[in-house]
Amino acid sequence: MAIMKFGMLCRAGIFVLAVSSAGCTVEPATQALLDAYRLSGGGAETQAGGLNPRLSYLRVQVGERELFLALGYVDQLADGPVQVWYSGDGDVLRLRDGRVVGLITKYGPDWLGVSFARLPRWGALGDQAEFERVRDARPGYRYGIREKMLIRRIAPPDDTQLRLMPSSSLAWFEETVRGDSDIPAARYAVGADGHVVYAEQCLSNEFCFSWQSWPSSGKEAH
Amino acid sequence: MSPAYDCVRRFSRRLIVGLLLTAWSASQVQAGIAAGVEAPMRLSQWLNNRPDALQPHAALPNAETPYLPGLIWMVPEEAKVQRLYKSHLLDRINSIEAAPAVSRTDAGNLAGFVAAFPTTGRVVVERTDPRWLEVNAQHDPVLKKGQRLVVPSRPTTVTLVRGDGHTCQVAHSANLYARDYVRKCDAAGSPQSAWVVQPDGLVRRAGVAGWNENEQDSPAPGAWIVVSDPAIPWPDAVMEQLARFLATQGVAADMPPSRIVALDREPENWLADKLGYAGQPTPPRNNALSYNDWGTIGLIQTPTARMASAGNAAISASRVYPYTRMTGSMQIMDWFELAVRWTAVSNRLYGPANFSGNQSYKDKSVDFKVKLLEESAMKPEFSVGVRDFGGTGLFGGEYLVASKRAGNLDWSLGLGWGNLGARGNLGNPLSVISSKFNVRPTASSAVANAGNLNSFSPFRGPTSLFGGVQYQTPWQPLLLKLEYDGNDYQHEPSANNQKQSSPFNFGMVYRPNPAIDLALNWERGTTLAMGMSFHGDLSKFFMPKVSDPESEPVSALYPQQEPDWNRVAALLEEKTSWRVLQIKRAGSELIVRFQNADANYWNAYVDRIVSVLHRHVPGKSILVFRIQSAEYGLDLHEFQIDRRAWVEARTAYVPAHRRQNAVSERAAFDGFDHPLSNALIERPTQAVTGNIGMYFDHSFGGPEGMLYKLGVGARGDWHIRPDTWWTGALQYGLVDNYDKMIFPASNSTLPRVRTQVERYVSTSPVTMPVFQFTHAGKLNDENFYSVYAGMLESMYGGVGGEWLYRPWQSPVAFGVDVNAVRQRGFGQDFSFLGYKTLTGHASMYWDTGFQDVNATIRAGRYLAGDWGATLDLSRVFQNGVKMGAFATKTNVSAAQFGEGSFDKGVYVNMPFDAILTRSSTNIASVIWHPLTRDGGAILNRAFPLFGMTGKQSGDLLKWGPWTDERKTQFGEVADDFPDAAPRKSVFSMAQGDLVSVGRSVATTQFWSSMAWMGGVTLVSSVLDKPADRLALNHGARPLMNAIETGGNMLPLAVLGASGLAFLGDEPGSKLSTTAYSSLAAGGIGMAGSIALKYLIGRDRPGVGNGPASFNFVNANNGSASMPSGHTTIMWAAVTPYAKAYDAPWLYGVAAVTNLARVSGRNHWLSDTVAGSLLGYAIGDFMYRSHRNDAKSGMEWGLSPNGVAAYWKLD
Repeated sequence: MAIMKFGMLCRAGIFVLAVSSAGCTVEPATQALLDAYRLSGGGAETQAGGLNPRLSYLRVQVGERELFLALGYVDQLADGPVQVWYSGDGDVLRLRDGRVVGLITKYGPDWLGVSFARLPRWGALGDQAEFERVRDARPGYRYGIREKMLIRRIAPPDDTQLRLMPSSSLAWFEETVRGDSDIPAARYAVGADGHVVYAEQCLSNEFCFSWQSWPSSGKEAH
Repeated sequence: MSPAYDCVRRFSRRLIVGLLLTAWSASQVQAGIAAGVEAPMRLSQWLNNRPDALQPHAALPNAETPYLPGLIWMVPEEAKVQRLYKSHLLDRINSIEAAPAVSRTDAGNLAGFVAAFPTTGRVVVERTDPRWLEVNAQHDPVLKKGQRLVVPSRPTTVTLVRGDGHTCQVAHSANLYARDYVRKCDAAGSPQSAWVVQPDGLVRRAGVAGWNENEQDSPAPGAWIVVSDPAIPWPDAVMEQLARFLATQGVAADMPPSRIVALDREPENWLADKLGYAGQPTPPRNNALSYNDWGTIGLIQTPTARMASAGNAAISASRVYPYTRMTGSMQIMDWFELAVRWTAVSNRLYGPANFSGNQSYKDKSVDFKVKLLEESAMKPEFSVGVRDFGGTGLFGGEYLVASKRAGNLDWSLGLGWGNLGARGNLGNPLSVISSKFNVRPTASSAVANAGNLNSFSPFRGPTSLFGGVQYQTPWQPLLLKLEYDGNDYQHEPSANNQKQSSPFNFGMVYRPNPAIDLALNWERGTTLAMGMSFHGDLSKFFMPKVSDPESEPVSALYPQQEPDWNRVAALLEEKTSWRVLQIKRAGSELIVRFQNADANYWNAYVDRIVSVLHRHVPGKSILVFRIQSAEYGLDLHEFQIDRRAWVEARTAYVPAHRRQNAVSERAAFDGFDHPLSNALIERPTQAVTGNIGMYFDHSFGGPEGMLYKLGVGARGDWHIRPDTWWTGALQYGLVDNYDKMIFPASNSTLPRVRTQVERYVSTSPVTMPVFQFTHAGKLNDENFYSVYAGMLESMYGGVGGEWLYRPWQSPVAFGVDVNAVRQRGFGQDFSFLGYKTLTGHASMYWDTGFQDVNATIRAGRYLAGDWGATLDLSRVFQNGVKMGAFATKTNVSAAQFGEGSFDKGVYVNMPFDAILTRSSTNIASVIWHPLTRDGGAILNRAFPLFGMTGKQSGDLLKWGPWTDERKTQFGEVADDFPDAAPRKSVFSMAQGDLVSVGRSVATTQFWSSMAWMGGVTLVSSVLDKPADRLALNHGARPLMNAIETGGNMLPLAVLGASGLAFLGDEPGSKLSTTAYSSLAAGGIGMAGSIALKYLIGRDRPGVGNGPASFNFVNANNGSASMPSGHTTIMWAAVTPYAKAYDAPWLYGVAAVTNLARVSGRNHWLSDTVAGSLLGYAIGDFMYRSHRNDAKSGMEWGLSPNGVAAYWKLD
């Protein structure tokens, strides 16, 4: 349950380490960490008041615990831009087009190097589509896990952790691993502009979390 | 040669090596990206500057993708060390002695394979994601000019290396394990083990045969697998060293596609498909261990030879009419299982109705099991055990049992005596020794006999086979069991006979989670039974301290300004919750003193303190931090922190050659009053401290089940001076069940010093357990004292004093306490009863150094005026969990003592730190103490000096959260280098010998040897009577008299000569070393033979009871017959000479002592055979431990992370 520990361990230490390693210039990662650190105590409503309007945030929920991740970078890679989000604990979450393409935490599980084949764009997605996902997972050195994925449109669910906006205002999709995988289905909520606003994702059968662009007033992760 | 290896054989040595060489020497082509470091920078920075190193899979992973897990950071300084390591590996491979059974051709091929690899100087970087490294700087290496980096391309294969240097490359799949790759390469082979070298340098052993398959990681693309094949029998150490060498090389590059073994689709399997496992092999699993009805590892009713790993514990309950059993079991060593049990017999009463009402009969018992032989490919695991050892013996039994695993089936077969062999369908094989073994004394349920070891008659009576099989189903939570039960339920103890229609029992175990077993069984052919076990490895309990205060940020930059010291003190108190007394600057050192600093896991506290100090204390002048604690006025201990090393380790990933020990522990003998110091903060000691809270006391093991009391309490301390204080406590009892306490009738005339506990609990709701004044001090740095007076514990008040001798970091301490006490009133107020006594003990505390075992021995006068001794043995694991047992024997007879015969118990202590998210100094303790009796009762003093001076151990940093050993695998490989240690003193040598002997006892080889020696002795016993007849008829002849006199003198003569040689010859010479070995062996032989005499208790020939008269485990056995002490000493003393000087004729001289002891009718022949074998074993052990060319001594290991060195006793 690594993300549960975001914001609880060594937050400030990581920040200053980042400063020193960057030669005292405040890099985006550092600023993101600092911001995530400042926000790492208290609930969402309390924390919302401390948001830096110049940064983008993710409100992440693991079980009952809420925390905020700050956007550090958008890496321009061959497969497309990847958002790099930081927790106050120095954990790193990577999202591409609203999907988890990497998570590195202190206690795992980690997903590394996630890639897709035949992945449809959100805007071009009909009621159902299939694609392939390949990922490396730790612990256990399970590298090159190939999964056939099925994504289908679903009705707005009631059992979400979405905040401050009705689920009916979004288009919802459920993504499942075909075959005998033990990873529960993921769900995505896509705004009118074709960007993911909210998602639920499990990295194993024991570790699940949701994330939402924050503040939610129309600002979406992209 | 298998086809797969064969297909690669064309690549053998030169070609394979050439290919691999190409992978590294021409790394620009093969490895993806390779570059030298031009200027100092962080690894994260270097990677971010190289977008070509960060490209993810373009579409899907393939060979063109950069592979960061295989990143190689090449540090020239590390290459020097790795060259030594490689050279040593080659020496071993080329040495015939290292593996005489390996053909020289195979050895030459393997040597060529190794020789062709360069030494890279690779330093493992565990995580290589640059974005993560940026914000986790302690993991981010600082690169220096002259170093190199390689980011290989992502391989698509896994490469196997055999002992002849041949390789086989198989396409990678995330669902395959070492076992599967081995089969792909050589389906007909029979490899047993493999070492998997992951791309990031981690090396782990994997069982690949049916008997040793274990949970293991999947090899990642580019992994090496070093295969141990019986056809090329390299020692495991060589294979492991080869694996670790390959870890310095990085990933195994792909060969051309035509030489890669492709993956075939798995054949369809209907059952697997239905169960959802189709298309992928079942992940390798550990052998499933589960608990039987008796709460020990086994099948249903019967035990198996299996053992959990040390640290495991279980609480089990089972119901098999008419028995309900509650068992606590502990795996104290990997080879020793101990269980305590409480059995309720529902259709029998505990005692007369007017005494214990309708209480069912309760039986208390102790079991133990010892592993004698580890399982291997051809041999089963083999154990011996005793059931119901320390109780009434009602269910007493002994057994020998073997277990052998074949994949998902685990078979066991055993031979049982007593309850385990009550079926009695076999005779007793030990009857060849004596017909006495054919008869087993009937167990009695009379409580007066309980715990009386004198009635212990093991391995007597008829026997029965028992055994069965456990099947691990494809569905992991389900086990199935079938067994043949050796017990005969139609002849149960106390005539409590039960119907039985079948000797076979079968059942299932369902595990809803890894810590819970639920069992459902059909037993005796008539009875449904059920059971439940909660179990886990307590030594691995660990909880991240997410609720603790966080460390201050750590920067590589040092502050320049003088801080606000009050602010620094406040921060220190916030981070530790300890009171800061003083902060002083002393030259380049900053000294911080806390009041009563205490913790279980000190490392985290030290880190938090130093993070505060480093952030605020100017850097140019202060290079050392010293953290001290004032406790009871005793200056005992300090942490000393090398600031620069500490900061470097926390702001960058440091290669092994530059790592320093930043935090050390020192005795605070130089005190706090540095002559050049100036105080920055000075505060008085807080005089009054206290706390309030709940309390819960319990005891269980008696007939009442668990007795408990729960309430609220307050405790206060008032320090009149730092070394003089008052302590008081008040408690208010809320609830208890001590009214259920039963005090069985007994013949005891002892004063009731402990058995009136019910009245102490129930007389008043408000009690004052302690009201005591204490003064403590140091006589010097090694001697401590305390004096105290008041209400010392809940039942006794008075005055007392204690002295303790405890040198800094000494494994041994010694103390004496004397107390004049009087029994307190039942209300625990200031009143007293009439009974008063003088009590006290001499105590020795010994950290044995053997598998973390501590021993405490106390001897003295107990509360009831009885004299005796207490032995407490415990094992402490890294996370602070402690498992132990104690026993007290005094001059009170078993009859006087009452049920139980003597005081005993077992306990488990667990620091709250192991289970809570916030640091705590509290410890949870569970004690199984079967009965509270008046004999052997000890005063529970509030401030024993050994506890108060705990920091004298100087090993506070040793304890901490359990860490996954996988994270510390790098750098632990060991190999033999010449002994470079200085000559040790005779005393330290002797201490080392004792530790060495202790360690050897923990090996299966030791127990195998014991079994072998026992067998030879047993066989020789057939000549006991004839030999004694000869002695009787001819022993008085002059020649025999001369032999007797000479033979009896020989041991003394040899030891005397050895003493002269040791003292007279040059230290370190062959003669001196051999003489020391002889002396040590003689001493150990004498101690060992005396101990065995007490255990075996065989009558001497002159007694007239014949050779089969034994009185096992009796205090009067000091002059017993087996083994012969003279022959043990003689053989022990001469064996080192016979070995060192290749003089086997000396054994002939030693045999004269045997002849003397038999001809004089001092011993049976088999006594002298046992003595000779024991003496030889000890002498041989001592010789090998001390010879100059021994493998003992400093050993070295190497890995991608550097070199490790440690002392090893052969």
